[in-house]
Amino acid sequence: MMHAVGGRRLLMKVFLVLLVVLSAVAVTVSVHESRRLIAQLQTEQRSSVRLQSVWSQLQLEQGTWGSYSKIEQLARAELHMHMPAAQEKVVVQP
Amino acid sequence: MTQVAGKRRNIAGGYHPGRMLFVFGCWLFCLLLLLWRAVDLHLVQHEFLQRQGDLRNLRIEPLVAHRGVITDRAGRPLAVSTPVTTLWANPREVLDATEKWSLLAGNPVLDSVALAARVKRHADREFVYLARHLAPADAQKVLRAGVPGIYPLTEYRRYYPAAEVTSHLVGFTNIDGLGQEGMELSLESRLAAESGSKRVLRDLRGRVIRDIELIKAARSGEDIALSIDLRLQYLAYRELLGAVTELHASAGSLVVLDAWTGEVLAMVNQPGYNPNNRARIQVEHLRNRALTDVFEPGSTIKPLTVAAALESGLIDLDYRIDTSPGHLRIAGKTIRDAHDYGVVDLTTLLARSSNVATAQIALAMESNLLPMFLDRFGLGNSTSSGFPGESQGFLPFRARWHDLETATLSYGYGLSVTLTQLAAAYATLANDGVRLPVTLLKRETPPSNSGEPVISRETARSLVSMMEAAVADTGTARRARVAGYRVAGKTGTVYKMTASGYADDRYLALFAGVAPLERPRYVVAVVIDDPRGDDYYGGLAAAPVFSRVMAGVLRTMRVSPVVTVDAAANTGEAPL
Repeated sequence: MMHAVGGRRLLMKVFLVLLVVLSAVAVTVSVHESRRLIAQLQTEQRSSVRLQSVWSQLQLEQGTWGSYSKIEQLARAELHMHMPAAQEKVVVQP
Repeated sequence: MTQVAGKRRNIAGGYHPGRMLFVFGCWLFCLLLLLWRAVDLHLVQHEFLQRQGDLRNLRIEPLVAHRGVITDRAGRPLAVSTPVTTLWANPREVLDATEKWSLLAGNPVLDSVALAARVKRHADREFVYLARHLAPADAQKVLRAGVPGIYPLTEYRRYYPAAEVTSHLVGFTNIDGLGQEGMELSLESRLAAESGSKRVLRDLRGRVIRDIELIKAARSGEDIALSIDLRLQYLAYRELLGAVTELHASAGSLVVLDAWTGEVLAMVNQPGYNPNNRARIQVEHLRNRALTDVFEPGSTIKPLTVAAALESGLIDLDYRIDTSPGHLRIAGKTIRDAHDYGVVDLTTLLARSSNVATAQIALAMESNLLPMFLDRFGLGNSTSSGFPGESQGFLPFRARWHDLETATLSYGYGLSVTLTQLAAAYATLANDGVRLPVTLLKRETPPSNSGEPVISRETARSLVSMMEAAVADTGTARRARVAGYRVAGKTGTVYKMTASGYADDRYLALFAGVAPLERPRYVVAVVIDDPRGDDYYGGLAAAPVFSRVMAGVLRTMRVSPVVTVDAAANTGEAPL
């Protein structure tokens, strides 16, 4: 009887030690994972800042190349376009 | 041998409490030593050690925030912040590595000769700017060369892609990114970005391994859409610039309003400036004259005088006034018309711009009734635009009115308004008599029930159709016509007030009008300040600008033409 109780206690101890080891491993894994994710977050944040700056530069570029004065100048000078005078227009009613 | 054996026996068999005590004593001493050390480290030196550890592992990292983008109503950018790189150097470090300078030889951005000159001049310092506000790609060209002691610094610079076209309205920021003028100033609290910071834990290799705490959250500025349409803004800019240049005028302003929403669709002034290059800027060119400068509106307020008389029940639409002999003498002064128009109806009054008829109507009105009406139209009151430096204008209220004061007020002297106030008053006429607050910000939906009825719908509609006569063949503003559309408006030619009273050879040419008459929606108001030459009349100097701008507005806003155009009526090449 005593022997059986002692055996069960030993089993319990072994089980608890196993749990402790497992939890230690889990802590290590989760710390590693969290570091990896933070590194990834850092990379993403950096690229967000970079993309933001690229975006603002592209907006400026578009604003410059697509400015109405530039388009008008090109349309008139290079493509020889003009606004149709009123009598050149035909209104198509739907 | 025996001795040794004896000793062994002693060890095995004997018990020496002294030795035992000695060993225990040693252990206890060691234990106490360790305990003391632990206490020392954990309690006594804790703070110092913690700080030292943090110094090695904790870092404060900046969190970047951007100033908000200002766009037009369709999202076209008008003011954008973009990162630029400033290069700085520590001259001592640079001077220690003279042999590496050749790496920058012939560099297009920063040449080794320039570098040498710069660092040698400031050899005793630890910080010197090499080049400020470079494009990041250019800065990389220098940094990649790898000369020691050269470092980058990220700064933000505000660019204005539309430059002069929107400069008065948008304004600009200073080198620290704070709004100085225009919407950049009035919207500062919404546009401003607050960069933040956070504390992080780093490992030996400098990689961040944990966020410890957020010290201050970064707050990026709000992106704000203005009410203007860049297409119309450019059109207005070009036409106003053309007119001011052609007439050798000293200044000019133009406002386009959407009468249904109260939004400003375009607002331009001359002379202007380029906000991207403010090296040689003249302070007087910075003014957004359409909101800051006041003038006497002259004949352009005649429709409002007539509206007041109609609305008060003093006259009806069939009222006729005898203007013979073309002048009227009040208190020793003579009010004149250009010709003797005889008996005129209200339409002719507006078409020919008769001062005599307008004065007679005003004299029949109760005093203070006219200024009260003008007040309700918003003259003499700041618009709700919130623009910095906006003028309020001036409306006279008197206890006792002299006839001459009443008469001159009726045709637009003795009060002062901004061009935007004038445009807003015409927008009230166009919007069936309901006055909407003017805004420079995009309204997602037209304001419902926020309008203030100033005059009845019937009065407003009949006034607009009466004003169409001004662009007819007998009117003062034939050149305001827009081929293919029905428009209405009123001219004004005002003597300029100078230090010595009214100048007799300096004028303001004015025109304010609405279109399309089937459903009046767009209002264009123009003022040309001091046009030189003989074409100084509102109908000659300002009306053609109205015509060209309104033609572009109607086309851009996809209003289909309704009037069949014959070749003769065509006013020439319309603007692109």
